[in-house]
Amino acid sequence: MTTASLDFIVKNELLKKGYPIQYYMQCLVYATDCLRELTFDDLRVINTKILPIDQAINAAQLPDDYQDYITVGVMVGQRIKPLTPTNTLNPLTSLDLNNNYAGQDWSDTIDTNESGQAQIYYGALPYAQWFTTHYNDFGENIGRFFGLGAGYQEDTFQVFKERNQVQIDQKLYVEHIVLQYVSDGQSTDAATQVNPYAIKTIQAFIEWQLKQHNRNYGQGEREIAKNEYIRERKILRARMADWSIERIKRIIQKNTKASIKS
Amino acid sequence: MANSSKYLLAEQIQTRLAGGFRDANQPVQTEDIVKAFEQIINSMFKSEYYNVTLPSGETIPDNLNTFFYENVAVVSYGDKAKSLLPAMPISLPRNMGVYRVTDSNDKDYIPVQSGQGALLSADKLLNELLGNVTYEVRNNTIVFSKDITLLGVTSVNMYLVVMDISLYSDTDPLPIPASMEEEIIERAFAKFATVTPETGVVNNYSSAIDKAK
Repeated sequence: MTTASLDFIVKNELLKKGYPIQYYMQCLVYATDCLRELTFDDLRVINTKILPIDQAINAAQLPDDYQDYITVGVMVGQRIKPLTPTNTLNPLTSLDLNNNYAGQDWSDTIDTNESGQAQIYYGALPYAQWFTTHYNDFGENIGRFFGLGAGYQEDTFQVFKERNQVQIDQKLYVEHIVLQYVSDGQSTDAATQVNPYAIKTIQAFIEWQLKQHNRNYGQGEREIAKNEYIRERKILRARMADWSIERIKRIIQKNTKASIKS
Repeated sequence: MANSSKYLLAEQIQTRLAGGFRDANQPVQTEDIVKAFEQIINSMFKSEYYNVTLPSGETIPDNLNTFFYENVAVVSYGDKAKSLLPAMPISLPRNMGVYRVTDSNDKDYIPVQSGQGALLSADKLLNELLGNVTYEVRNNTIVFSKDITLLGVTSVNMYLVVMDISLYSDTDPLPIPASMEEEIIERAFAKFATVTPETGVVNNYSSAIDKAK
């Protein structure tokens, strides 16, 4: 068995307990709750998707089960060239009165109207050059271009969860990006492909929750069920940890370099 | 759903057995037919003793049976589908009176409590229930979450929990669908049709004397 479905896990649990199918729905809800938690920390369901870029706003929609990104990159042959996260992209898109996208100039060059206004930085710099390091707070050129950086970096992205989009730098023209992300385990794919290591953990969670939400069980029984779940979860973590002597040795060997001889 | 009682059905059979003229001294009496009904109904509906474990601690009354009702019609109901319960099940926690509803391949539809379907719609994983179809019990109908008639399902099988048939009194409405009454009557009639009435004529006088001694 390479994967197990939630349906199988729940029905298997009902069979073991001798419960009728009237308990299926309740147990399924507990199972999905558990799967979500396990996915965050233990199962670490990593999905990879190719996302099309909306060329109008240079952004892509995040998948429904997106939780956090691992890599955002561009396909280059067999490899993925990673993009760099930034936190300076504008999360606002330009909308007209009808809430439709209204094209805006994504160039950071200043048009004549703007430059004619008082839109300057530190009282002297055009706002589009706020990132420069060659002027002081009074707009005076400090001379000497020491520390000149790499210039404008266009291979950047920023995730805007409130928009459910990943925004690509306006100057990066690609049709697709590759997103590797942590899933919340709530997509149908994930639910039908649960790691079999997690079966007992999910079933222990169901048993605990059934007792937790039932007044007929005492606090002691609930605690025992909870401890059983925690024990199963520890076993799951141990199983998911794929450390081995060989692997550790290989990492050390791979990072051992010859140094300058004195 | 029929409202026939054991007594009503037994009267019909007695009338037929007597050729239209019922008599108090018929060889087949009402209690014989009533007992036969219980046996026939139990065999026809594949009756089984009902025994489940309830984690919620409710006590399931004794003497319950699950009855199997085959080919219960399904009709479209807006964007859903519904079926009429062939008999009124007894009231149990979680609507367990409707014990199972399956398609012709014995695949279960998933029961949800009344109103839970609306709660599920908020759950992005469970709103489609991994492809399963759910049903809710509304009075004497079952409403499915999808129009399963569009999937080619025109009938379903049901397992309903009713009292042991022997616990129904002679005048209680029986939990049997109207369409099956005729078959039950025919089978009971066939069972007793071979019983000939006592003629009162003694063919062998000497043996009768011997028995009397």
